[in-house]
Amino acid sequence: MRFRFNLALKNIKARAGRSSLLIIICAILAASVFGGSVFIRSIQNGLHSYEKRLGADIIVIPEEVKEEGSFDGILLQGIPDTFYMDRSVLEKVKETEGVEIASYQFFLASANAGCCDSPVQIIGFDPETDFSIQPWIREAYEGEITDGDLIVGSNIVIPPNRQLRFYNVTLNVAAKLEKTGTGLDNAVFGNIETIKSLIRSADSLGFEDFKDVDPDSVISAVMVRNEKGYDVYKTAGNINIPIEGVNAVTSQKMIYGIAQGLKNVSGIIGIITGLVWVLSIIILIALFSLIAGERVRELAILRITGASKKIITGALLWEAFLIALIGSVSGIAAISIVYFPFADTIKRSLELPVLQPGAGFMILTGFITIILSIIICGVTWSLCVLRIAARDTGLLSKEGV
Amino acid sequence: MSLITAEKISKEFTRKGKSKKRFEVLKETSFEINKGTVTEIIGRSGGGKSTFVSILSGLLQPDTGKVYYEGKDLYELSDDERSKLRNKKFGIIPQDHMVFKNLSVIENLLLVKEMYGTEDKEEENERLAEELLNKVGLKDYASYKAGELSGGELRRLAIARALINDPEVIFADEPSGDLDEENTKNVLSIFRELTEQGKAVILVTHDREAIQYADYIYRMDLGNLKEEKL
Repeated sequence: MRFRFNLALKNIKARAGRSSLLIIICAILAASVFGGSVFIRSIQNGLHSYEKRLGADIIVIPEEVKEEGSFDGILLQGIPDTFYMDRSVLEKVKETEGVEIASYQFFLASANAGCCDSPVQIIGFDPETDFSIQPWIREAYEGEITDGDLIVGSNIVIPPNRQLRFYNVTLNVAAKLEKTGTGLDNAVFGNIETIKSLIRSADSLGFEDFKDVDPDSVISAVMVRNEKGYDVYKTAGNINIPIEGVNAVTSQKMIYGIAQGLKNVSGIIGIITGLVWVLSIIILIALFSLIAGERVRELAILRITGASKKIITGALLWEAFLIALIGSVSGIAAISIVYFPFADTIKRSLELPVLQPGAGFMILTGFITIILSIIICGVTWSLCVLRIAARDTGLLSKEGV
Repeated sequence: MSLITAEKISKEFTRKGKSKKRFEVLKETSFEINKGTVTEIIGRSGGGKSTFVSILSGLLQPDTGKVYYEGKDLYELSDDERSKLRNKKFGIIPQDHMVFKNLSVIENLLLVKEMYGTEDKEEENERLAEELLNKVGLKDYASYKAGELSGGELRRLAIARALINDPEVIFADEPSGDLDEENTKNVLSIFRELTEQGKAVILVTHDREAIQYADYIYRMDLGNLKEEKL
């Protein structure tokens, strides 16, 4: 066993150019499988997380906000925005047929100015009626969210004094949420009273968006839970038709758009990965066939000096194993170095929620990728070289000379 | 008792190309090699000498007939057994420069020595390899890549490699092919020395110089082997 391993190692080292080429092809194979799998899983996770975080069956927002796409911008890309509609919308929605619970929220953007620590989306919810944000917050924070408390998204950096300042109001950071892969990772959450204090302060500081805005008479959105058994699209229609200036969007419709995007991206990645595999396997077979002539001579020398077919087969399989192992590990490392630092850029350019899978998935995918590369490399190698190893020694040595 | 006995061995090959014509290389050839002798096989090129040596050394199975080494039928042995025998008891010097050109000179020797589990005796193996390289005049080239050697040096490397396991039988196919007069004499002297230790040497050669070192001479002609008088 040791001799076979050493012989394989010697062969790899002695034929550095040939071995490097094979290692690079195995690395490309592994990188495409690992990178493709992780990326597809990331957007699947992102979609799942997005669906979970929406938390409402219907979202009612001002009509112009839907048209401008700024609500999608907040949820998907974390682009902060401020918008309002009259508070009377909440009462009208509550009375609509098919609505089980309706809870309002505030969406305001912090300013990119000295009064604010960082430009983020600030979301206010009503602790009495909220059913979409609090269950999520409870996963990270069990305590009561009092006036002046903030719960922050995973991308928000918490200062050592655990305080953030918006519109010159200093707020305490109570907890940080788990990563969702959505724009909500760039948001901070507080109760309605906290948000109202920010609006008043912003107005006093002279910010145009808040000029003469009475926080008691406006809201940004209404989150609706649909009555069980009632058609959700019918409920949305019940809201859209009589209430002017609003747009009730079902979460299914919002997710459908993302899911379509996800399907397209996954499809493209799948096709690219498939093509890379087909091409790499063709190249591997071509390369192995090309070097088969060279191997005839090597194998003939080994047979002449007393190596059995078992020793030669063992050494060749070790060689294929080592090449595939080195190649696949390098491929996984290379794609990780390229992909992970740019994951956020990719996410922004795709406008899709991207949530990286956990370490368990990464390790398992990496392991499967390595096994798959070893199998592919071993099989193509066997096809081209092992049949030579099995041939009659005398004929081999005659061809080898 | 003879060391190697060949009984009525024959071998046919099929010509490459369209004709696929069969031709007989060996015709029911019988032969014996005794310990402590140098046996030369001479004859025209393409006459079947190399094929004959390949069959005797367990590299190529004959179509008919038997080859015995110390009473054991070589081709009744499993591939593992026959290969190990070839490694331990036979030293084969092939016609061409069949060495690993990307390995160093000493690595080429150690590879053969370590094939059946003597890697733990690294120092002893290296010492032995150096001794052999010294014997064939390659001591100073031990760390060179084999690919850097000249034709004659490669031939001497193949000779040293064949001797690394202290074999009982040496099969040498044109061992003096690339050698100058001095090195030819040196190599043939080494073979003569080996016979004094009871080993058998089979030489396939065209070299007239070699004749004076032979105990037996056979001529291979159209698949028939005939002993010639010295």
